[in-house]
Amino acid sequence: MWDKLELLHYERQLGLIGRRGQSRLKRSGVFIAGAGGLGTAAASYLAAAGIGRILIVDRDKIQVNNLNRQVMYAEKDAGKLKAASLAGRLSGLNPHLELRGEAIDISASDIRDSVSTFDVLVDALDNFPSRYVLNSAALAQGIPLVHASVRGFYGQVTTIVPGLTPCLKCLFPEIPKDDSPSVLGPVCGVIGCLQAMEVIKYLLGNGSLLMNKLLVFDSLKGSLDEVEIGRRADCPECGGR
Amino acid sequence: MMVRVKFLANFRDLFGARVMDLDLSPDARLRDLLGELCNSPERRAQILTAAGEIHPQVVIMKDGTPAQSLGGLEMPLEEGAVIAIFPFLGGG
Repeated sequence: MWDKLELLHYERQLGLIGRRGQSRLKRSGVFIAGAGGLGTAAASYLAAAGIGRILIVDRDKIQVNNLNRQVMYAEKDAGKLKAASLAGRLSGLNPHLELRGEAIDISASDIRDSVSTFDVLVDALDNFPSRYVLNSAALAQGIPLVHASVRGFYGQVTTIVPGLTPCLKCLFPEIPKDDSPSVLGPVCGVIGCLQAMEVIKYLLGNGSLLMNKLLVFDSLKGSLDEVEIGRRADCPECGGR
Repeated sequence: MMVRVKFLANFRDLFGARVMDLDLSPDARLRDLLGELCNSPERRAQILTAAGEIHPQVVIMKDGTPAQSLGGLEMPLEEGAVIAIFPFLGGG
């Protein structure tokens, strides 16, 4: 099942998770919505860790003004589709995986069927209308969703487990009109890595997930704070179930 | 009635505290709490719009539930309630 080079790739983590854990990651599938600042970080570490099947979805093309935070792309890649570019880049990082990138507009799609074969969904999107679509798909299929978002010097993460935690609409029922918010690259990196860690913990059954709490990162203070969050019985999306 | 307010991110500097315990009247609502807190033009401008509504870029939760779904500024407060105030983060 394992070839020599593949085992060597994971040598420095096998002592932590064992071959059984590594096999579990290899058998797992993760759907990553968004190949921007959060998605490039989360996807990179999930691919490096050996998630066996990764689908990266993003409708956008690479722009030079993405590159302060989307560090897996190069200036010469401007104009190429992000999802395919990222999948290609990560196939070089770890060729032992099934990695695909698709240019799908989540906000205009019914993705419930597309996500059904995955174990975890990663919300690395840059807008809430698309996040609501992903949230609905996660609820419909009963698949955990690791949400994150960023702005300025700050970021937030929570893991939504249908039936056990609030959904995204419980937490953010209304959204402001958002322009293109400024953000520093390292904030995306920190938050995207926290998302990757949530996925790995969930797949391995190790540690405790960020369930029923929103982790807020303040890069200026170097602090991580938790906000306890709860389900809403009147939530139009999940009804508090 | 004692209510605890937790400030996160940029609001920590704005209010000069991580946590603040406020003694409010028993029938106080969110509007009263914000009236106490927003005692300078800068604080008011960052929390409320010119029309006096909660600023769309500000998230306010009571015990983990967004204020918008509990009546907004008319949201009732209870003894021991924990109010969290943090920025809306929408990017990725």
